[in-house]
Amino acid sequence: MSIVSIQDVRKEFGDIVAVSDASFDIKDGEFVSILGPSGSGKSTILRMIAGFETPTSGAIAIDGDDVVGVPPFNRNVNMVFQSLALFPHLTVAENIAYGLKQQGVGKEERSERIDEMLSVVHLEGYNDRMPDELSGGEQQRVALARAIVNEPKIVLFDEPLASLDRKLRQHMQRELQRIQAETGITFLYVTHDQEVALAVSDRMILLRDGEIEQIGTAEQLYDSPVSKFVADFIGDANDVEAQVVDSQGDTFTIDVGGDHVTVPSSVAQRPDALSIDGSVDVSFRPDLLSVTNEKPENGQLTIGGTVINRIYKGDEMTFVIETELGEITVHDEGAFDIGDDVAVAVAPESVNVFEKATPATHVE
Amino acid sequence: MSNNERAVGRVSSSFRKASDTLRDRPRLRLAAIVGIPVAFLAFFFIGPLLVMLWFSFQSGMPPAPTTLDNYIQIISSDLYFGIIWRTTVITVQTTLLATVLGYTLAYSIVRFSRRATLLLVLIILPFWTNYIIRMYAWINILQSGGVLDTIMMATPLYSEPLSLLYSQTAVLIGFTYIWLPLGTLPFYASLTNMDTDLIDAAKDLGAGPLKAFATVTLPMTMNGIVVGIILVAIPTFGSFITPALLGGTDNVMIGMTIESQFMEAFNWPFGAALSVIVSFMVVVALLVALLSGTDLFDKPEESQ
Amino acid sequence: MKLPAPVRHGINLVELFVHRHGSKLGFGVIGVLLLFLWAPIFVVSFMSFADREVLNFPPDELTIQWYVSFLGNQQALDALYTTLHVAAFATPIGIGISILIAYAIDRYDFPGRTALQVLATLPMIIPLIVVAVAMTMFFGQLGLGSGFWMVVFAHSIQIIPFGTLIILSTLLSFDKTLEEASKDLGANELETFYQITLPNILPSIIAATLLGFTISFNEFVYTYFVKDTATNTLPTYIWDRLQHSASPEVNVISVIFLGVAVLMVLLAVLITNVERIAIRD
Repeated sequence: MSIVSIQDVRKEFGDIVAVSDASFDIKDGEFVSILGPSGSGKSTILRMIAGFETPTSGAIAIDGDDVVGVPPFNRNVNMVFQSLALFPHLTVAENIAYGLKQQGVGKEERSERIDEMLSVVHLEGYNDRMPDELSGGEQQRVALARAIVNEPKIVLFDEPLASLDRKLRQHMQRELQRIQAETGITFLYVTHDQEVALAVSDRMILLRDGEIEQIGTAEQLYDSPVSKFVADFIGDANDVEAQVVDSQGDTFTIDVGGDHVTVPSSVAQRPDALSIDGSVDVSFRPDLLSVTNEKPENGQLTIGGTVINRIYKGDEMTFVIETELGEITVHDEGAFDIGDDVAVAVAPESVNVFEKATPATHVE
Repeated sequence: MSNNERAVGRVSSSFRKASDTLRDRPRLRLAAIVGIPVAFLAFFFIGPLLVMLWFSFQSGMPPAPTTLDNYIQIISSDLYFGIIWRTTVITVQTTLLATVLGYTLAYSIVRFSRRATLLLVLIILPFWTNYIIRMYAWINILQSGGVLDTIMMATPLYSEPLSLLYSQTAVLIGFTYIWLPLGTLPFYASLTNMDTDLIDAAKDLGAGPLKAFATVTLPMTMNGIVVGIILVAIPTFGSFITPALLGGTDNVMIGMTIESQFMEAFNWPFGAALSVIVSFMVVVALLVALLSGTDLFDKPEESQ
Repeated sequence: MKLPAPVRHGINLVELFVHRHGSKLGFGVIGVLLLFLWAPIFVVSFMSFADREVLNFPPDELTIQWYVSFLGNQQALDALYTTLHVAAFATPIGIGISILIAYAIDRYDFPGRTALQVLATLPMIIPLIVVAVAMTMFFGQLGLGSGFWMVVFAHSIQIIPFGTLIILSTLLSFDKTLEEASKDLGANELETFYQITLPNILPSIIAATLLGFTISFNEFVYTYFVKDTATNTLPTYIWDRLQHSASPEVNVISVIFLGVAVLMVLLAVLITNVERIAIRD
């Protein structure tokens, strides 16, 4: 049973279409991220679920009930705001008690549940502190406690971790996962940071210009991106242009900078849409490439170039190689130096082929 | 070189010398910068207040013996006590009206309007118009057979003129009119400084708009409320134009009494004592407001 | 523990009403209160074209005869001239002192810094009538008399708290690293002041000057007590007229005051716009 169901939701602000025809479901107990660049409409979707915005058209159901038109204070969803929005004039305990008070929960039960929550977020004894006496990470925990204490159907996160430094952010990501596992509440997390989304979520919804580009697990988005946009947004990718020269049913041949290489048709999301002599975008992941100065294996695509930068990464190196097709980044071992002439070897099954992308029109 | 040029040269070189002297001696420079305004304020502002205090202990136009009679007369007389009491009541009523209306106006502009600048200009403009003129406009409106009566009697609701002029209602309308802009601006400032996420958070946690206002917006704009109350209450307490023009003889306020001591009765020591009492009450009220937790000299706190 | 429903019902109906109609209520409040603020001003402007000496509403006919008679009234014109004459001195004196106070408070740390700030704010706090009678006694006792210059100094006192408040807030928010950057790039103290500091605080000085002028132009209470019988400003002139009987000429003067207020606010808006353009460039 899905806890949140979004059907053909569209939101316009004047002439600007912030969200167009978005549909997705979130299952009970899932941890889902909505991922997208700024201005892609992810916060608008979140605010429509919370009740702060009303969709121009489409349906939103929470636990089976249509909630369009229901004000935010009548919805059993709670939000962790980007600014956290902790009430500065109330103590930690009063902040957490705020939602319970509105529900008419009695004083004794309130204080029990506050203590329970503070122990869930590891802030025992912080009851009487004021928000401005807390560190950034502690404030995050209070904001989270204030939301989940109400036992909402779903907790919405509007990039609350964005202001933290990397170490603390990673720690809070693990805490979010732990707390979600402990409470079993559904989490919907909005972010522009793919690292956060990949780390915490069961599934991701990738948005682009108000439209859903792809929904799937981290593996699905990383290994089988539906578009060059997804390939670029999730993880790192090298992009080159190519021509389709021949098609043989379950394989086809493409021309990459003069070299022909035959790839399985499974590397294209929609092989039928590729026409012979048509231009395509080819992308490949830096960690699936290798740098070599030996003769390439048969059937492998090689692109010649010069090493222009090398970055030490511990067990691996990152090489930036200048080629005729542009700069290509490769994660590999090897003792190549800046200025060395090398070849980048690409395994045919590791590439992704997309029909030519229409240029993105940005909505800010 | 002509005499004139030489003179100019001499002046400019001595000027440069003076400015060099000031630059090399920061203390002297500070003394010059602070000294002028302090001297000006001390002479034209503090001096008069001290002379007023001294006057209030005189038994007649000086030279005269020192006495406490002026104060004793004020405190023991029902007349003056009554006037001070009425002044306080009208001040409280005015402050209540102007701040409640001002807050509502500021809130409506901040939350619902997209043309805040235009609206603020429309609110400030009447305030920049002459005080007496604005009161005179209300005489036109409130007097028997005036604009209000003409309009009201054109409706079937009223057949008799209201003749509101020279009543306490007229005084309250006049004061509210005068101070509404002052009651709006500090609230506007503190409301725009407030993070709107806090209101969203309250609603998200189940509070309706009124509950969210009472539990979040109101306590968070307390600073602006105290400033608004101070800005309205102090000038109302000392005012004499509005009660004189709109209140008539039945609504005498303390400011009018002081005025008549100087313009009609020529009893300066008694007027001075009344002024000292007014100042004392204002300062006490201000200290109470400051102790309630507002620092007037603090910049408005940035909400996170 | 019972599981909460996905949608909470039974919330206060008043809350729902306010939620649904909040913006309509808000616009209603704005409309009613703006009408309250502007109706009297429309009434006097309209009445300045009334045809009869006795105030009656609505007038039978419209005429500009009161504007003509104002231009022929030497007393009123003298009062207007005196008002402008006083403002021409009081504004620069008041603003000049405000600049010194604001600069000292912003740039220096000295004993009595808070006291200076309180002193500069005090004329705004002590009721006008108290200061006015105090000045009357002070000037009288010192034998300084009353008249033009006493009115000028009294007006300056009233301008100081407002001028200081405006200029100080700009100085405090002015980013001092800009001055450091200027010096780092080779400008000396004076060049830095003229090229960096002044352009940044000038709009607020101009705004303070406009406000100062408006205060002086409208000032009544101090003037009323400090002036001698020979000196009349426009506000004290109307006050005298209102003591006897109001003629539509007072309506004409009202329109003049309104015109000055509009002019000052327009100038202020224009300057803040200029400031915005300057920041954009």
